[in-house]
Amino acid sequence: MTNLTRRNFTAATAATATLGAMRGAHAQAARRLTLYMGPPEPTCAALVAGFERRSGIRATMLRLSAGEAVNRIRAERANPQASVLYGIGLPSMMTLKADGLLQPYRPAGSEAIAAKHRDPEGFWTGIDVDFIGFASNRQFLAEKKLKAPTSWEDLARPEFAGQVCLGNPATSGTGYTFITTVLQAMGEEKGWAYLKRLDANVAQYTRSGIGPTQLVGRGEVGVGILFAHDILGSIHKGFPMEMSLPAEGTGYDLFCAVLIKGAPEPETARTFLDWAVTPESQELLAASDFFDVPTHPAARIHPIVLPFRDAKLIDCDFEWAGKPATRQAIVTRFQNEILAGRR
Amino acid sequence: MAAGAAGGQASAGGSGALALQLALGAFLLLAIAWPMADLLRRALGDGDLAASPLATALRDPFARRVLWNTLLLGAALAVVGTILATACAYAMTRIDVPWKPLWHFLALLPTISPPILMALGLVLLYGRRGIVTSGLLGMKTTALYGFWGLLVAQAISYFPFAYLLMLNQFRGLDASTEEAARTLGASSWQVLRTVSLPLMAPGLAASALLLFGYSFADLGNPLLLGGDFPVMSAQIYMAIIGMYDVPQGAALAILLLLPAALMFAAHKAIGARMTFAGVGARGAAAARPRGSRRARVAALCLLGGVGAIITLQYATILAGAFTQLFGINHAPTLRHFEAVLARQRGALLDTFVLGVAAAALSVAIGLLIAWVAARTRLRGRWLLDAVAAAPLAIPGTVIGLAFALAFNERPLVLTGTAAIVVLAFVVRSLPYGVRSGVAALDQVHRSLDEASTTMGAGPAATFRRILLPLVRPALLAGMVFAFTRSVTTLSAVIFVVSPHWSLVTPAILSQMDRGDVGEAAALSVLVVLMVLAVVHGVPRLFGPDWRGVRGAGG
Amino acid sequence: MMVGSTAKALRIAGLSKAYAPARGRAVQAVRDFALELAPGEFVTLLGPSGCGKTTVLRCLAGLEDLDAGEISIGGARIEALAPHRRRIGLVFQSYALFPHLSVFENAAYSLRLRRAPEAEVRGAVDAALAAVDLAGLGARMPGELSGGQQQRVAVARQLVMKPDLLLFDEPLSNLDARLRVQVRAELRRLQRALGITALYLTHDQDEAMSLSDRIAVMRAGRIEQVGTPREVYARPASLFVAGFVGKANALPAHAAACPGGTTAISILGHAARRATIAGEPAGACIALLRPEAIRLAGPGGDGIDGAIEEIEYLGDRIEYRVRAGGALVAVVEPALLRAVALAEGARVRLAPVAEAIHLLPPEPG
Repeated sequence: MTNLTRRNFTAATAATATLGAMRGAHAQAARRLTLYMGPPEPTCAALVAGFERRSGIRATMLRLSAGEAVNRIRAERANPQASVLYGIGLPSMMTLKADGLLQPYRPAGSEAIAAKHRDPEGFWTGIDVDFIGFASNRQFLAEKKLKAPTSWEDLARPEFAGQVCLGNPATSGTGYTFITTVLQAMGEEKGWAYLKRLDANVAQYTRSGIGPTQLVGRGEVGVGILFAHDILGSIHKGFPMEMSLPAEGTGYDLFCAVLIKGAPEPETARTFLDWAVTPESQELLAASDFFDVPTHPAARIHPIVLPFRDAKLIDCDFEWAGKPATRQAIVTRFQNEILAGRR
Repeated sequence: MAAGAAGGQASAGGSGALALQLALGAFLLLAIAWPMADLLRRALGDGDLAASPLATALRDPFARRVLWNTLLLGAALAVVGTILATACAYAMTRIDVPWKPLWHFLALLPTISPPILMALGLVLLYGRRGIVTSGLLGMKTTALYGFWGLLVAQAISYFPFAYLLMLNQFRGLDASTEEAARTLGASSWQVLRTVSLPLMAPGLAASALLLFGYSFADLGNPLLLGGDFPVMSAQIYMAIIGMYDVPQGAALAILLLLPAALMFAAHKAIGARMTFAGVGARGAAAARPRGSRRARVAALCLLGGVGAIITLQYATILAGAFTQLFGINHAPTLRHFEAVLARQRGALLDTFVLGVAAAALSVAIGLLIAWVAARTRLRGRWLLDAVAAAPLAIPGTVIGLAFALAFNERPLVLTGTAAIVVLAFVVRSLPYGVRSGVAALDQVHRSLDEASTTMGAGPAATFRRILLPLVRPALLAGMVFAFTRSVTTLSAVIFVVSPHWSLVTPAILSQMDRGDVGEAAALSVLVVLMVLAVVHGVPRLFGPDWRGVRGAGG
Repeated sequence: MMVGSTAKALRIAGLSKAYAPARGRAVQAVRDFALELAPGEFVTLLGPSGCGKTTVLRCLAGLEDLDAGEISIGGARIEALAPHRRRIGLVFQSYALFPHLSVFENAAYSLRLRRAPEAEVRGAVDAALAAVDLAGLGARMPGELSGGQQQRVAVARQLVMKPDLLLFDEPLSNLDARLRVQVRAELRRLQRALGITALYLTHDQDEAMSLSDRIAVMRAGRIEQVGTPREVYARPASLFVAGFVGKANALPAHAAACPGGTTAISILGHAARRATIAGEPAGACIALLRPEAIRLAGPGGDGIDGAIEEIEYLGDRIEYRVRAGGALVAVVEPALLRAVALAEGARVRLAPVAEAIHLLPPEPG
């Protein structure tokens, strides 16, 4: 048992503090890149590692949901902390573009990607496509002797009372995409009417889009509305779930990469974006258990996704969805009409 | 809290002390006054008051409902938690119950772990497919989510702090007063009701206030268990993170702040009048525990029950950390720990380093403020003390938000740096640093100062050579406490994390969101181990000089 | 004033109690303690701190559990009862008033517990406060009273409660000397008027002597002697008692019984003779002489030769310490006894008053 004197103690604290400061300083010494990323952390970690291996550039990232990312970038308008935003859905990118927070950049090799997956003005480039599906807990289906829902209306049926969950559109990209899809497919008034009927069956609106995976996976709730990659990822992890798609067609989102205006590290950012559109980079997604349809035609599609690659998708006006006014209107109406009416 | 110049002459201080006071004042201005003023400015907007975000929020029925929920939950926790804490403290100090060290350890376990841990454990145990509700009892219920689940989670998370407070209260009671009541014919229950509890009224009020504060500040539990019972801290989070509505977020934060500050002020005002000066001469020995058989059984049931619930929580977390997919696949595995150590190593290290830095700073600054307040006669020292105490009334979410907003613009941009995180930690722990500084200085009698001065030592030398060595044990205890608080908080840091400095509590939150329960549990286990190591290991490491006569720290 | 008509006897037999602290060996605080009090009697338990008297008191009150023994009040066994059922009053050393209750409510406490009707409470409390000279102070809070007044409130509490047995735990030790003398007289008066059996603890022999019907001297957990103040003072059972109750000179002596019921005692060469006391030791023994039982005479004449070593002038009396036969003997005389004062170094003769010589067997060690 050492008997530290006051001097030793001061020295120890000073050393720890210096260690911390040095760590910060070291990160500044090498070529570096700061990113905000949307995919789950293991995927982000895999991407960052893959990029570092390929380019030698040291990257630090912060994982944020769509809403969080938009906020931060807006908050940091005067003094951006990150250079690249990666893996967030198109509506949010549209919002940022409209706010003048993005720089145009067409990554090298992005011409191989389909035109509708790229911004004609070059502000955003699509990396992977994902669509909305239904995740049903197997035990729940067996107990209630139900089949997995195959249409939007299915979810509003009485058998699913209190058994549905989805993300809160205020904070969850999934939730927001779901609502914009519904409103576009059914029209404004019919859409809100449907949402109200659906609300009767909803057990919870979760904070983030991935939240429902936990609930459905554990059987807390019977059915969740989620992006396919979340559902497939959970099934891959071992959760007893199955995925189904609505026959009428489902909404989808395009996850993009963008260069932030006023980026502190513009060159390394461009290097990253160039790398992000390559098949090698896009295949890292599936390798880290993130199952989407990559945009680059040469990238391999993971077997678990293959059955769904030809899903019927409803085209969405992303520009409308991305407008801050639209977002504000939808979120406010959601809060006042749906949330407020709940117990 | 401020120790006035109670008798005896305090050293006037000299110019060195004045410079110190000014420096401290500048620090407090920067760290507390400015962010809060900035937040208020945002809430009040630029135009006329009626259209300000604050006024809008007050008119909004949803916001009002959320405020009401928050107050209701806070009040419920204050009542439930105080009763539970008082009952447990009574059992521990007045009844002859076996295995007391065990119950004490278990009761304090929640203080060293992040509060959102409770939410995780509760869901695993009592959720719709919880081990207890579904597995054992065959119930299918979501009763856990919403008001009741939140109340239970907060009760388990925070009652230990009230328990510590009431424990001290009971120990401080003069045994002979209670014995007198007994000889006059009062049964144990009557003694408690007519003598002990009235005398502890200030303590009970303090406990209620404490729990109110914790409930207001809690962010992790409402995010995970809130369900359809929204409370203010979660709403602020949603407003800022979800909708990036800074004015609304600021307005809600001020709305949250108002009742907290009011209660704090009320407590200070009433509290002074409620204390009863000790009457009678010496004989303030603590009561010896004894009790009838029935009392012992009841106490054992209570302490055992509480201990069992807490143990179950932690056992579940451990199980979650060591099984593949808790609740579904219970094959044992170490892969969660591997994943955490591979990916979250940085967060663990960052959290530790920043926690240590914050602990040292908050205690050091706290001691200096305490010294100025208690040992000098500088004008305006009460202001220093009051501002340093202000964070007690401010919920963590509000502090964190104010920092993120105020320090993101010129003239001082701190976002993305370690400084902002450390500053947030320090501000939160500063009131305790000051308090422990005052308590420590109180133990060093003023006559020692005077003796030192008459022998020719200036104030700085007296401070360094006489006071500092004598207050070491209190300082160390203060540092350990500040470290624990800093490392386990979520609300204060959720707005200030950055790519360069990651912390464990937000990481746990996002892991739980993702459904990576195993990793969240593994990370939580590591955090708890880290705190345990510091709490028990550091005092031992530092030798008896730092532990004080009683050799605490174990 | 209230007149007690139902005073009860107290009987303690075989009381033993040991404390087992967290560390170290158990300490036997009281060992096989036995004492009986007649109804209405005032007995003092006198002894130094640590002698176990407080333990006895706490066991009586029920605040400690005894290891062995029996306690009966008025013939009924009470040692198994909880404290609040024993009807034993306790006046604490620290008074133990309830700081959050007024003087009136403090006094009324025992009746409030029993939910007595308001009129009864008022009557009893007013009478009790009047008895202790605190009438009109009922609305004050204990924090506003002086030490002496607080003490009276503590007593008033007991007057209202009317217990079967009244215990006093060194109640005067926190008062200054003058107040002590005044208050102790009042306490005795009250006890006599109420007629409640009382056990009083103190380490002050003056208190013990002036208050008690009988004194029980305690040492190391046992009783060394029980008797009236006169008995304990004049005929102490041991050196300890002799030294604790007043001052005593212990001188080596030799006693021989003589025919005709007298004993010849030789102290330091001086021969004295007095009537034999039953049970006295013979042969080599110790002679106990109180300082006031020795006369100082000029050199020559009957007595022990000695020289004055120290003189202490105490106002009403003078204490001399005389070196005689190798021992230092304390002698006390009224200050006005001599026209010409003695000086240090003066040669004197010590003449013990024969009837006051008390013999004790030689003590080991």
